[in-house]
Amino acid sequence: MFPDNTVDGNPIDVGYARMSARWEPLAEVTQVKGDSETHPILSPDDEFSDFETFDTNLGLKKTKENKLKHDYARGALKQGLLYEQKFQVNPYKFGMIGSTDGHNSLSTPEEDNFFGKFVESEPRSERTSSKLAGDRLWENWSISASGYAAVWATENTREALFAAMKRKEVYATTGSHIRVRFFGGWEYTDSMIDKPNYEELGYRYGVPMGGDLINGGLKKSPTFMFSASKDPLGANLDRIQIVKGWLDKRGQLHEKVYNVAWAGARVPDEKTGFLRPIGSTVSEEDATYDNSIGDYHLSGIWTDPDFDEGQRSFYYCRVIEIPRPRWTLKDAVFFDIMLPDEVPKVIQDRAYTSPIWYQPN
Amino acid sequence: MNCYQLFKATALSLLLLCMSGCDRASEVSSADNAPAAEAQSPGKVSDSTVEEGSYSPPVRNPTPQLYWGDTHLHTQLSADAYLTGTRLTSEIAFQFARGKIVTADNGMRVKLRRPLDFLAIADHGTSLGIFPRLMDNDPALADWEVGKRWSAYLQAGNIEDLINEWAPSMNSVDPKFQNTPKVRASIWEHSVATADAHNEPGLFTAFAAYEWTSAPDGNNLHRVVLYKDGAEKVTQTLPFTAQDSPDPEQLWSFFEDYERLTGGEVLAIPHNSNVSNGRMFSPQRENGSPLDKQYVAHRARWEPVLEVTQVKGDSETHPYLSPDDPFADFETWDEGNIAMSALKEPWMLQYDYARSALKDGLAYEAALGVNPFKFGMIGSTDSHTGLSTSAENNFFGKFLESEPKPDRITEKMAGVLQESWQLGAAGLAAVWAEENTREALFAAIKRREVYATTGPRIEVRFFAGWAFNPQDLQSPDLSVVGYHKGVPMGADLASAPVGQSPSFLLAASKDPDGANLDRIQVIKGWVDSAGKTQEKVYDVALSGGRKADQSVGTSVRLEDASYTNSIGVSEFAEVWVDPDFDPELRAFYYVRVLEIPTPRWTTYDAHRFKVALEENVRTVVQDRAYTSAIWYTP
Repeated sequence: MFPDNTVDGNPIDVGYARMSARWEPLAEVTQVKGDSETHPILSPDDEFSDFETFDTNLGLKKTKENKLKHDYARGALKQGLLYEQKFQVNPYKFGMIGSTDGHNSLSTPEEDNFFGKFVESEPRSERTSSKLAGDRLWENWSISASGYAAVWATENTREALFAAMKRKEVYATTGSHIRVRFFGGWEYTDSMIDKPNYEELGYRYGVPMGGDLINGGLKKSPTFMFSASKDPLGANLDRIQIVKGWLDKRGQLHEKVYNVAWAGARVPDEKTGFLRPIGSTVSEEDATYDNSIGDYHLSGIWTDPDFDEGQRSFYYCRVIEIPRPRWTLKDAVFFDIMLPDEVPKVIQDRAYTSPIWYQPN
Repeated sequence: MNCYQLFKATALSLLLLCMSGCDRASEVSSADNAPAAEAQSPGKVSDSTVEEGSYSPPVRNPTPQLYWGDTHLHTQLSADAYLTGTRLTSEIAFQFARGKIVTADNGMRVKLRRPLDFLAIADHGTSLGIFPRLMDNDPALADWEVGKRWSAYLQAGNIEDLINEWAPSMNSVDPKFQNTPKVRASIWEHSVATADAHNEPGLFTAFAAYEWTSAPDGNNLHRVVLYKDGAEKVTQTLPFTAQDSPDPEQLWSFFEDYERLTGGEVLAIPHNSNVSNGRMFSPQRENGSPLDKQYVAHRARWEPVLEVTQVKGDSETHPYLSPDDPFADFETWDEGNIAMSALKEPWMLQYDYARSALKDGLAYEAALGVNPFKFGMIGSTDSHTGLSTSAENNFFGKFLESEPKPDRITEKMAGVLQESWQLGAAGLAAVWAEENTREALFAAIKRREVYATTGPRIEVRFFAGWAFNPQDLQSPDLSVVGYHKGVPMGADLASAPVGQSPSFLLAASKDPDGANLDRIQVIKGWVDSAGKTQEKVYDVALSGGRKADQSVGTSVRLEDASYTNSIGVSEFAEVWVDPDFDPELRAFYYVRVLEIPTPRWTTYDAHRFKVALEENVRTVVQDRAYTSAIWYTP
């Protein structure tokens, strides 16, 4: 999907990069056939990277490890920085949305109200133990109740939504109505996030998700303002993270996940930044959970501690919910069936914002 | 496998899949013996009904959504609006409510931060729409004597004499003030057609409505008349106005006739009881006799909700009535009646405010068997500019003269009435309904599952039952547990289990674009064993773990009209048990949620127009929400 070569087999060139950047401002990064943010082999230090992983192609072949970076959004966003260095245009400068790809005319990305992909994966007692297309394709339990496209637009019209998509002021969720704001700039101060009009200040002193940060010669690090509220009818939030990707001076690509806000009195490890898991309130017997852990709202201001003004980079925000029953567990209780061992029962649904890109002078 | 092979394999699989899917669909549609709940054939769009066995939770447990709107807006069709310079039409008013930028009559471009979900344009029924027609020399009005005089004033620009002649006609039953039924019908049909044109079921609700503007002796008895129906039914009758009768009992008779004639539904929403000088919740009928069984039954039937807060002040309660309530003095208008023709006297207050009326209602119920004042509460604007604006920092006043300009704070309404700084930037009607349609919103209003805010979009849930416990607060969707174990705002709680006190589930979230919350309270009213009405305000939760008498403080900076959310909290969720419950006594309970202090619209004006405020002008406001009550009857 994010290749080094065109369909003809030639390396992609500046023309391809221009066309890709122009016509494909977004990637549908999460949907019923799995999540495409990143993969555990690509992001071994990211404990949340193995999420609804669906790493076989349509012919059921496992993707080769060295191809994974062409399959996943984070890898592609990083590759894009390299191409931008080479071509002055980034073919993989895309925002991120979710959608369902439901094939049954029903858009149902929520765990407790999931009507599957095809008619055969609509709710029935066998759907978690059957394979798609009469045992020919993937296991139906592996499909995902996902996702939503969230759009920040001035009004609900074709024109306004389309324009917001083109400027990438959008984000993906894996099925929840999590509300996420994400701004980057050089002048945000700590108290701004407490202002009732912090969104207005976000635009005034910086750029929203999907935007570009340019170094105006300031000898300082960029600052990011973020705010997330839980789905009013859903799960509390575990944490907010900022995912950074960058290209170093030797041409090497890197990524790092920063925990920037979290629920409860947890303290991140001083060296690694690791934050222990939030725990779980999921009851497997009756497929329920409660919001006695997590927080309904997390927000803050974060300044990149590792900023190097000479390095191309991108930053996006990932918001993680507390664990809740996956649709498969809902099925197990509703239809009173046993799930095979390999079937996941619990999920931490999430949101990914479009990145904000930083470009050196 | 190359690309082509892969494509072939995929296509084959999908083909097989489609065939198996088709088989299944035909099986289902041919199976007549399917269980009743699943008997819907595929593809049928069904109405929302409760199905115990359904996989889909919203089918199993349908819970209402929250919709925001205004049931009381005036446009140029209202005579007083037109004569004070309003030219915006109902067409523009709907566009503005739905989020469009429009140009106000003061020339400024204006937009709502968030569109409304519903709107009722309730222009004055009296003299409805005549002045734009007189201005246009409408030939259909050529034979109307009074109209000819008024037209002459209009054409000459002599508005002062025109107002002096027209104003007394508002409450006159002299037929010379009414134009021909044909013209009245044409104006009314146009008004209702505009609402019909903007009514998009599921997206936006536009109600047909008008205002019955009765004010005997200058004492406000105004009601908004709200229809569930569209033109087909609504235009079968003309608006019943105060020129037909200033007596609300006659209005209710008209309602009875309307419903019998059309099979439609209509109700009345009283407003500005605060300027009724003892008349809105009076113990006497208009003819001076005490309330009787027929009066209380009719009032209970036709007036399920009260507009408790709006631009002309707040009517929840008054410091004189609620001396122990430190938040009772809110946007108080107690100088006199609406016409400022008589001053307020203390005895009137009991009959002017919602809380005391709710209390009196319990006593009437004990005496007459029906509670005439068993109303829910909503807010609305009563703005006369075509612009429904209730936010402190986006307030476009009541009339053109109080639209934003440097001297609006120092002027008086219509040059002689109350000072314009006293206007409140209020309010909103919040409705918990299954969907955004006339039918669903109207039904929610009738069952009182509604609440008022003084401007912000504070989300409030309120349930009462006998078995709520703190564990319920962890439920991801409080509505599910709320309806399962109790009844919502507006409803009745009966049959107290022996030895138990009622428990309440109450939750509030701040306006996502606004101020944090200071506290959440339950207000209880009851009739004691001696027959005396009582009230008590309980602080159920305060931000920051404060004690009840500790103020939340303030983050308001007057110099630049700003505040921060560094104090207060964004959400409350509590279970509260009445510690003073007596199963023998009638009672009601409603929730009040207070925001932290924010700059009042006057402070935004001072900052933006660089003007100094007089000492007596209020600069800070604690906006709030009032839910409809839940009643307990032994």
